[in-house]
Amino acid sequence: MEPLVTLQDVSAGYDGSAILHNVNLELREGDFMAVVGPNGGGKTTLFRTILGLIEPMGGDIRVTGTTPSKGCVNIGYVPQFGSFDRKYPALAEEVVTMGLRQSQTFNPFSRKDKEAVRKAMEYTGVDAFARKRIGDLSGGQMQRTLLARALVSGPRILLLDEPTASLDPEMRSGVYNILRKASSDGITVMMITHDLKGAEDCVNRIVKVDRTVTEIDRGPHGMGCGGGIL
Amino acid sequence: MTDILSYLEIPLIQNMFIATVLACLLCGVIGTYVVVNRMVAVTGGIAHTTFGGVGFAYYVMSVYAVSWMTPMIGALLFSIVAAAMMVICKRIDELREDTVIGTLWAVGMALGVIFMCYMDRSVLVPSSYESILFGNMLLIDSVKLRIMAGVTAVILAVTAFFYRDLRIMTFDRIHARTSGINVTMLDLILYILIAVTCVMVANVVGIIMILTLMTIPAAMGNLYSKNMKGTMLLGTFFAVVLSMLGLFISIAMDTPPGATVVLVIGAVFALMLAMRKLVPADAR
Repeated sequence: MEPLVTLQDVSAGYDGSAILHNVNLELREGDFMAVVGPNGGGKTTLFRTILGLIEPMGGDIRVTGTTPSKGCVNIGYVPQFGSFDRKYPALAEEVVTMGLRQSQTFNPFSRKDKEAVRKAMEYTGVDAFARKRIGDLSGGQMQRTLLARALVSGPRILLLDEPTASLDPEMRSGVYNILRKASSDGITVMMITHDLKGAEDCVNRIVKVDRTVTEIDRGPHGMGCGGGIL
Repeated sequence: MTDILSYLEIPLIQNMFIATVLACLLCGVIGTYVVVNRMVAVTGGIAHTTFGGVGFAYYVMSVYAVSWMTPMIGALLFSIVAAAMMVICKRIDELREDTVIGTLWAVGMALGVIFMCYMDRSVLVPSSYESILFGNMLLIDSVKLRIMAGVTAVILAVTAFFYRDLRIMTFDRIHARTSGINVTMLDLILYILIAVTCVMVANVVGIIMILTLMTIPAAMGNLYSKNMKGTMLLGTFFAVVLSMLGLFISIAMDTPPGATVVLVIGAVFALMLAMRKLVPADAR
């Protein structure tokens, strides 16, 4: 079966200067991949390249068999929740509806749209605080809301940028439960994280991004991440 | 009171009230995007470039006898070009947005001064700097009012058409791009909507005070509403009620209407903020 995401000798960066060099990587259906590495090593650049937000400087990249800009409609992207303006006037459920992909002009939400939003909110537990303004949500609630937004359009791949950063252990465990459920429902997950320990029982592949991408052997005893992956 | 009400029978005063309501409608809706998207400086920049357009129109009308190039058309032309330049410059990494805004702001004003310096005053007497910069609602005739009504309807229709995409983009640009929204095109539409709104609002409060109507009512709405539509509705409500109050005070006290409206809105906003500081959140 063709991998969902393929990068062949990809170099990428900004303003003509490459941050990632000769990246070769395949994300296969059913993978739950943790992306680790030092700050500035190129983790976010890798995600931006896969999402088609930046053009690779060299090499070839395919997302669900097509270019990233076309293939990204099959990706649900969850950015870091700290990057949002919490004063923005929106309810949690309205943020979830923003994930619906079809043409958004004039027509109100169809019954199918409303059903998809309801299901995504139930799946992630957002229904408990759907009518709360986003500024009043806790970090964990905001992260669940962003997860619901990413899931509402039924993506094949979930890309998450440090979904548990700044969350307390209980909230972190809640987020991992949703990701575990999504993975068992057939969604392929790729997640930047500094919390390998917390994600241990979810992840089946680990890659280290530091100017290039190296796959890390989990070894016979689980993660084997005590020594220097991060 | 009877004296004040008798003023309402004067057609120019009626025009002033209707124009103010139209401007408030626009400010409640477009102002919400300005506030939530932190585009106050962009709006200020665009608003001030309209002065260049007004000067350009006077120059072309007086020197080349182009009668259709009215100050409103000139202002629209300059503000739309400025809006487009801001969107284009945003795409150029070397330039910071506030540098572009500051440049267009100053150059627009300077062009206005130069054009008005070289216009032929024997053919046409321009409005005073004071009425262009600070507004003169008594200059709103029925033709201008009809144009304002038509343009307001178009702006509101375009905003309704792109409402959901605009909301997605103003909340999270990266998500908008990955959802297949043409962010540059939508940016251009939003900037042009702001530009045209600035020209309409300038008729009421003048160029300098556009920012008040474009930001404060929407910011008030944002204080009390949980979502975008509520912010727009409340913003429009505050804008209309406070502007009407300002106009009545200006008639009663014989003060310039634009400046009075601005001061009333500013004072009530300050009061609201003070009340929020004094009253605990859970008691509101």
